[in-house]
Amino acid sequence: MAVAVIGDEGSGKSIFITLMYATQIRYTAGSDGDFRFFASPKDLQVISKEYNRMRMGSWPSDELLGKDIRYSCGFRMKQSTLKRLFGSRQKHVEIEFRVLATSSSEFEPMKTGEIDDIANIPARAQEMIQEPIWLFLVEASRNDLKPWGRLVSNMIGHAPSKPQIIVMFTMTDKANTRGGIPKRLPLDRKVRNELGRSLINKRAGEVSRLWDRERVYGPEIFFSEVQTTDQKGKPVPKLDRNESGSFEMAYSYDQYQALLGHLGDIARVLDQNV
Amino acid sequence: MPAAILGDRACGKTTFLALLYSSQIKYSNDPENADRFKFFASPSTVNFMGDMYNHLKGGGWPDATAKGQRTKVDFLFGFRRFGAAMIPSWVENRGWANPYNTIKFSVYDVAGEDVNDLVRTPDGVMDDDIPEEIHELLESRVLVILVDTSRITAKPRSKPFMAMMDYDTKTATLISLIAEYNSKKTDPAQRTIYPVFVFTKFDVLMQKKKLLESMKLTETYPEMKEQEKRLHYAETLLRNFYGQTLALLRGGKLKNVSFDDSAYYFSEVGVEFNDDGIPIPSLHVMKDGAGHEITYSHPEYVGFIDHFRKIANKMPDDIKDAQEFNK
Repeated sequence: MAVAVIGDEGSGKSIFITLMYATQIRYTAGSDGDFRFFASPKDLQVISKEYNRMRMGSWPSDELLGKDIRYSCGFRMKQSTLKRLFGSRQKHVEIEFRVLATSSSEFEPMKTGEIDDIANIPARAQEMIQEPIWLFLVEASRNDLKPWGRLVSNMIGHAPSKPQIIVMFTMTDKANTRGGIPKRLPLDRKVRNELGRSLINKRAGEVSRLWDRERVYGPEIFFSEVQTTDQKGKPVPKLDRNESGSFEMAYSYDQYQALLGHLGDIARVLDQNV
Repeated sequence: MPAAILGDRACGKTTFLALLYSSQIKYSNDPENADRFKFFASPSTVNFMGDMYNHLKGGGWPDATAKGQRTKVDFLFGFRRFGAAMIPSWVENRGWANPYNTIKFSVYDVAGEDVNDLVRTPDGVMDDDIPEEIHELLESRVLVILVDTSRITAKPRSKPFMAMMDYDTKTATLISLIAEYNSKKTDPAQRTIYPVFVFTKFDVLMQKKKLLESMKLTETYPEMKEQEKRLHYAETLLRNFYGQTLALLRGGKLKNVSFDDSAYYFSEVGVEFNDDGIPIPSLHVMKDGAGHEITYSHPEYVGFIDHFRKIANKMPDDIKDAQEFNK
């Protein structure tokens, strides 16, 4: 069970991967064993390097791009009281993140017109279409989302099964990156999805397949916001002192936490279906 | 049962070993522990640990060990098995039954280069060309992780902050390696690893009162008997400053490797100033008045030794590599 993360250049893939990692670390500590994650040493070294960069107040480098990064998230299955009382072994369902950076060229044919034969697109993009969960990263400031809409439509048209779609709008706290998204990001699921839906319809045109309940689950909308501070006239990630006195990256942790919760729900449902 | 003591350079490994050496002498000589606990080390290790203790007593701190200059330090703890009293003495004397569960400690430098080399091998941890020392480390059932608390700082964008994060990454990577390596084993007992965290140079962290206060932690760590409070205290430190390590320990379960049974100990050395105003280890008169000894967190070291008795009982040793104890 894997999540394919798809985003154009500049959509914040490296930042997203780094912030997901940061969220997992925080979430693990507070989840009392309900959530766990694991990464292989090789992947861990790569992600951790970027995480450390951001914790030092710098943007991630582009080393993550073009790499096939994988890590697993485990969500504890809900158990009946009886099972818990009788000490039944607690089970985790796993979801694998497979982050494949997609450059514009890889998906280009799918952005310009309808694709009849999936064999005409690069193997890497074909591979991603096979995954059950697609997570799209979309720059909030991008006004024209029509190419993206065509890409999504094409992907849905060639999906082997009904995919779970997640859209994450990426931005900083600077007004020019937000594309009109309010400062106070909505956390309530209904409000979040309504706002996202209106943004997509306005900028991508009517992507009918995206809203076709027969063909897709979702889309579920989230917002990724990195707060910044100016350093020598350039915005760099801001660090905030947390309740415990140490410093952490200032970002929309609540949104990422909600995303993890949503992925946990998907994992549990898919596991039962299996 | 193999146990690894891990720490990067200048994290307080040598001081820890010297104090552990002193503690085990007292522990072994305590009539209550007579015959229940044994310590063994090669002459070079005994020499090294003894010298280091005397060096501390003489008012000096150990020098940071450079790569390649390290003495190989291995030693054994032996704990009398439950039911060993039932073994007739003539059986024991002839070496036909081993009345001790043994834990073999090996000390490793967690140098970034070594971890990087290992991760770079084409097949990662399953590579046949893994050096013997790393193979031993991956086979360890107990991981003693030394955490240098003097590096704990809340100042972001500073060198100590960077060093702290770097060590966190290295330790988390090692845990990931160990989990991957052990995940292939079929016996669940072989997939259970016991992590033991030792917070070294705690006397330095105790001076950072504001930092501890901001974490809602007291200046001194809770005593041994307050297990829950100790757990909270230690996990607060790890969560805030070594989050990746803590998260990967929990994540081992996803590879069917359990690191869940962690224990925490605190190492501190009393400090006084010499005539030149330089801080040196402080000494106090021994209870029986027969000399001086270093002021340090002795109960923590005793707790550390006792903890291994519990582990040894949980995981009886099948590797009879300690024939010394039969004699």
